[in-house]
Amino acid sequence: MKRALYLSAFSLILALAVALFPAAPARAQEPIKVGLLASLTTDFALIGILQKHAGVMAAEDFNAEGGARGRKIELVIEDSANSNTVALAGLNKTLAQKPVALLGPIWATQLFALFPTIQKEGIPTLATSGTRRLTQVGNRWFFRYFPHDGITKTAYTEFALNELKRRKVGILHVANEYGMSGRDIIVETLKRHGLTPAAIESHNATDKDMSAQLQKVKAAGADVILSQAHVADTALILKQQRTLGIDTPHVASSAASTPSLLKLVTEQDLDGIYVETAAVPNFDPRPQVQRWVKSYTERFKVAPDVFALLYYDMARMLFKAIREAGPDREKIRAWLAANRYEGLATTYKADAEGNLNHRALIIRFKGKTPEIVKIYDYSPR
Amino acid sequence: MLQLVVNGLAIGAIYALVSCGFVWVYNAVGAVNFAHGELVMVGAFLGVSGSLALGLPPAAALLLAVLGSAALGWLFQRTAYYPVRTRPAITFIIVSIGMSILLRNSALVLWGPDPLSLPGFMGRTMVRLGASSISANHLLIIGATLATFGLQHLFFARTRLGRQMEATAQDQEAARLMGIQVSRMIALTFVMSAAIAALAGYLVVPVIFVSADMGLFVILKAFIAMVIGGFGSIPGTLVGGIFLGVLEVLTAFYISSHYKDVFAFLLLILILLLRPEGFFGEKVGEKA
Repeated sequence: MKRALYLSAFSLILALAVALFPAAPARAQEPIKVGLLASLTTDFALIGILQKHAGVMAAEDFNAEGGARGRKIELVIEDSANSNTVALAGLNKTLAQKPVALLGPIWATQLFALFPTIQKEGIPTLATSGTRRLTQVGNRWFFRYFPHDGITKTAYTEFALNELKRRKVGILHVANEYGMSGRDIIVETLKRHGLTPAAIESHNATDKDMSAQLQKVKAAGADVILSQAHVADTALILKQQRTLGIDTPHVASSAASTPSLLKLVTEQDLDGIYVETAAVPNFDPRPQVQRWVKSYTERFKVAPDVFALLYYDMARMLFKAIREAGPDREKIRAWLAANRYEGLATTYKADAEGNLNHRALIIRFKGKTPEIVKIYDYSPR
Repeated sequence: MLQLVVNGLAIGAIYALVSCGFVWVYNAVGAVNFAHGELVMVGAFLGVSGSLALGLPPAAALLLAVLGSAALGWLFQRTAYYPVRTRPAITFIIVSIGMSILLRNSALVLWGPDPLSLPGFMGRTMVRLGASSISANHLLIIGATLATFGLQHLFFARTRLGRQMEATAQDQEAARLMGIQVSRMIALTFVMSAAIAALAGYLVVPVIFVSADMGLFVILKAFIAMVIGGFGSIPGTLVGGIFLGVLEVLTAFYISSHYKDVFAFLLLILILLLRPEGFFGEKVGEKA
């Protein structure tokens, strides 16, 4: 009898608790998970850590502004190091937490390795990689926020031909997916002008001596050098070009605009060098970009690079999509594919392939200070 | 052409300097120390930190790098070699791979992922030789490497300590019977090997930068230099390193930059087929 009394009292309390604290608002407070996969260790961490900072900053800013209808964004952060295997393991760990979308690594080789899982899982994946082919393999879940090589490399080749009035192009590229993607687009662009490259030379990302390649480009009579490489090898090429006394004009790829590279070269090495890029955050006079750079630098004690700025825009657009479309992968994908977003660096709008950034800048260094000399906008009409 | 050869000589000199310390340890303990590249990297970082963070002049920064690395070399042999010295050689090899991962990731945490650089020790001075202008930094590297090899030859041939170390490397048991303190000699070998790694690391900073992963690059090339020169031979490392450096540059220029490494490794295979003991090595049969 006593036991029955206890039981009914307990049931009553339980019923009251359920009635007074309905489950729905409690769930509304649960954070929405978003995966963040970036190279946080190894030599690839150079760009990865700056991107992670940008992702963290975007989530903090978005949450401080109220989040997605009261729900906060929680990042599930994993390391993709410098290997496809680690990246895939990181993706699987992230997926175990059921994120609604993924901020992916910048490296094309890693993204290609992740694509089968991403497609099988059906998770919107956003990245700032430039490699052309990424958006040509029919992965409808992938969105790209950096102008791809078809834009940047076309732009800098056109710049060399039309603005610098050069005709004999020497190509220097890193021998990987990224470097070869750029090389092919330069060659195609030249072909449209009825030209062929004077020389095509490659190096490994870890090579330390590019003097033979530079000498060959010079010996081939090139009147302009177009290079496509990462930070450390670009720095070595620029230094060695000066050391060898080769004064051929040089248009370099976006790595040459990063703060990491500025630390490796002298003003003499960089003076007069042209660079293709998508933004120059640390030298952008627009107040909103200045404010962002100041806030980023204060928070993380390091200057952001162009990839970090675009990554921030990318994360903010994703969070907006989550707020507008709700935490549903298919709805988020559809929202990203359909909507225009005004970011800090530029305006983002997806084309049929899932490329959202269609603008390339050509900058010229005076000492270590860049100035924008030409803007190419290939936005779909 | 001359410019190219000098570039090849300079990069080859670096390979030689790295593989020299590598060979000392191999000779002393009969096993390859895969963390040697990381000792080069730590030495380079110490030197750069001395220059950039503490504002030391190059000679003082170099001293800091050499002494710091020597201390690390001692610590390394106490923790990575000493506890496993009686085990088969493979044990130390595995431990050294573990240590290389530990050191590489520690450096990433301590110094961050950005590569660091220093302005050249000789500034931008160029030396004109005929029609070519050659970077004084490259000449400095070649000169310092030759001087180091000369000094170490004198050390092993002329000093008592050097001969004791040489004896230990040749036959530990016999050395012990002669009253040589073998474990002290081995410790000293690790210390000197780390010190010379730091010298190599600091010298190359203006040419190839320093980053946490540079060890992997240098150790691979040093290993090839050692195989070409003859496993275990000190003059062999000098010849092997320089041969590899010049070969890489000339292949990239005259044959193809795309297939530079293919040709370099094909040649390596060819050398191993025709002369398995390398340029200066012992006959393979004697090693078996």
